[in-house]
Amino acid sequence: MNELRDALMNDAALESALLRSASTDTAPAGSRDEMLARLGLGVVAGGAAAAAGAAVGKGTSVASAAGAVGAKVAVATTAVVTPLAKIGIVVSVVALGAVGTAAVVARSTAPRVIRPTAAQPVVSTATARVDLPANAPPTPIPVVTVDDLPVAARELHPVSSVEARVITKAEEPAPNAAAPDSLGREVALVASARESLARGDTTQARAVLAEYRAQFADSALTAEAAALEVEAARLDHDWARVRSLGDAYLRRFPETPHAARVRRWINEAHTNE
Amino acid sequence: MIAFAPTQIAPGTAVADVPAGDARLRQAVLDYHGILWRALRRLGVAERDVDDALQNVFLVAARKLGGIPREAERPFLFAVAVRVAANARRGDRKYAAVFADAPDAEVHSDIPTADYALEQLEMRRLLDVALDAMPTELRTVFVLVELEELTVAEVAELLELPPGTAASRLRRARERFSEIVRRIRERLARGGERS
Repeated sequence: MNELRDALMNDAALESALLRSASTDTAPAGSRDEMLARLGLGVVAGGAAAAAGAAVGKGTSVASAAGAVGAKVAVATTAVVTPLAKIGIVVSVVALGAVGTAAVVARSTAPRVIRPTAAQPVVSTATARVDLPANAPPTPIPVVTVDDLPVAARELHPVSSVEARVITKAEEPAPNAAAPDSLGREVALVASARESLARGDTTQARAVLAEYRAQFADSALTAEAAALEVEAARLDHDWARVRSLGDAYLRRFPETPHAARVRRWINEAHTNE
Repeated sequence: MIAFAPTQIAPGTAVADVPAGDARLRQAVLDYHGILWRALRRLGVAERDVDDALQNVFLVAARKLGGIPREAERPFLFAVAVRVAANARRGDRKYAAVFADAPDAEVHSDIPTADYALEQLEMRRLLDVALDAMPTELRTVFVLVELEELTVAEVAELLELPPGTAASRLRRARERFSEIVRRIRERLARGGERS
């Protein structure tokens, strides 16, 4: 608990301590899910509204947030257009096109930005304006609020009159290790463990990780969860456990992005034991 | 040598327009989000701007990842992050130039002792003070090698530097970092008294 005070004893110790502290810096809980939503790569169950809310909260246009969760109508008026906002607008405008043809095919699990076609223009300004054909019947455009959205966001794929497509199994996104709900649960558990570690609550982190292990033996985030277990042991200064868990980790996941950190922790354990 | 230079993102760019493929990009986000988030912070991107900067990294990755071999994925993403960080780096540069000009408040605080997480937070703050006081070209090499554990050869390639130049920068960066840390320690030892 007195690492900083100890480190102040000499320059080399302070240097090492400051460098080590970088490894304890973690992205805020949920930010990875939000990034997936921003990129239209999938929103986990229960995370759609949160991701949309977070995006709005950061000044991103309403269109982007709504687009990220598959809402059909949104108008952006923000003056600052980030790449995300533009993606959102693309989704929104394409979705509006889909409303016009009354042909929307929902598939898979996640919202995805859709390649615009000639019939579905890309709008790169902050305000999206759609002119319906003069002879179009005055069909009211449905307004969808965040509360109306399904818990698991769905991908919208418009079928235009120009490009009718049949959705086949082969076009499904690469299968995830788990179904959407289970992936959401997985992400939530790992995020919770990471958050607990950030607070220094290793007991809670270990409990959450044990729950994760019980539910997901070999899944999308198994490597990350295992790395967090090593990190928990490190924060407890349980060096023997750091070595045993770390060695097991490197045998199982030698090539993951976490491997370098785990190696460093094992070296640290050897030094401190 | 792999061309790491990111391209400009055109207005209206959509992820579906890119060749990388959703599955690979998604996996890249899952694998590298945390690492790149941390790297962007240490490369000087303000915390409030990290998510936007990281999004730009992945948008560039979405366009280029399809042409990048998997074994080069990590250095490629770091290369993009370095360039994105250069654009996103905060403008105020409060601690820029020389550390001696930094206000005492930046390095002096009550040191938390009761909570490990708070202590780590304080140390990361001091680390950022030290990194902010380094010239960008030294900081970049230092962060990539010392914190993100890339090899000097990888850093040389992704920064498009001769290996000798990268090694030289690393040596100078280490010397500079040591000097800054020494001054931080002296100042903390004096309880924030201005030198």
